[in-house]
Amino acid sequence: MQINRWLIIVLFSAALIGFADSAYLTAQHIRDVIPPCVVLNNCELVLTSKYASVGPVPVSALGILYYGTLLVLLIAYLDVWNRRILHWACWLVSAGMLASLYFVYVQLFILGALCPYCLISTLMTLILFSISVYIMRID
Amino acid sequence: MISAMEHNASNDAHMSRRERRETMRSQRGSNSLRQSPSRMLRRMLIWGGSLVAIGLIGWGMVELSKNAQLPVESGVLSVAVDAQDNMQGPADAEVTLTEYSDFQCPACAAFVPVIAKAFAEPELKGKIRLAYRYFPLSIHPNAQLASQAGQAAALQGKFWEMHDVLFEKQDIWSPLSSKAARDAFVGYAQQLGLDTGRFLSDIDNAAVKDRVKTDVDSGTASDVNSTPSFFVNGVRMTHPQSYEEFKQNLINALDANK
Repeated sequence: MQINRWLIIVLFSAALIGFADSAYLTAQHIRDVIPPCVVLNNCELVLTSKYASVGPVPVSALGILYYGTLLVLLIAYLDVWNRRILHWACWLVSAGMLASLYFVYVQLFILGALCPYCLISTLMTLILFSISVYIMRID
Repeated sequence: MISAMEHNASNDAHMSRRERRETMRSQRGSNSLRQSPSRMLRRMLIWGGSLVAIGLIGWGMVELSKNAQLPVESGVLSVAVDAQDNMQGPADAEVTLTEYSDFQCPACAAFVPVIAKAFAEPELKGKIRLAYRYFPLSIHPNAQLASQAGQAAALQGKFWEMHDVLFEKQDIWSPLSSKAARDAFVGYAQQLGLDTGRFLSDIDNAAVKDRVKTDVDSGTASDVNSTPSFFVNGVRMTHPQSYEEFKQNLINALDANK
């Protein structure tokens, strides 16, 4: 069954937004030595917590790797139209979805604070995941 | 290209029938197209264009983060430092650093060693004093009580000792319920040799709460909306991005007095 072009465009756009979001957060992470705590802003709490990095690597940098890989897979698919590449992308998104769920859990139940920039990424992965499930089901 | 196809063929054994059909179809399609130079051009455009676009987005985000919306960083101190303030350093210091701070804010905790280091610099040593003002943010559930604990300790002459412990143990008491946090604060008071009975009655005392509120009000009146917020001789300091910048701001204030 043919996959709608629009579906690929949405996938691509969501991955791009996620990529931009992660790049922004990583740049912030590296630049701002000590970001201040701001009234009604929970981002600092989330981004300065111990959950914001895996060892020395900020989670947002993992986000860059994740969305970057996804973009390369999608470009490769648009190039050779091999459905297997799309399936790899779908598996990658599933892993991303699991990671996102874990981070939403951390934000809601451990830190008790939600970071909007992190939620943008979660939303993008949710969109990507919904489309992935659809693609996997029609195949 | 032939070796690539052979490679694909050897992989075929591991593929399901459906995948094989798909691969065959895509290979047939790309083989016939690959003959034409326009197809090559198209491929180069797809890859080149996409990678350039991704690179541009990455670069754009790095640039954007430089101009990230920082909290309001202008204004002057609305209420001058006086004897009521919790003060550290010589009374006749040439430079007064006023800090609006929140005991539960990770950034404020991170600034404790930064401030100590700057105050120990040869250029600044003995010429600068620090006034600590409470600015508990509503996003931090235990910050208000921690401020009251600080002021209750101040009433027994041990504000700075409590200040240090609260920041040092921030990770421990931050996630606690307010009741458990209160117990933790009493424990710290005991460790510092305070009269815990008096500490417990002072922490909820109306005068102590008023004292915290006075600081919050003077901060709000001085356009403070983030912590830590620094004022050097009454003038707002832009949130320092590095230790050097922080130190230089203080030295500049010292030089301006001469």
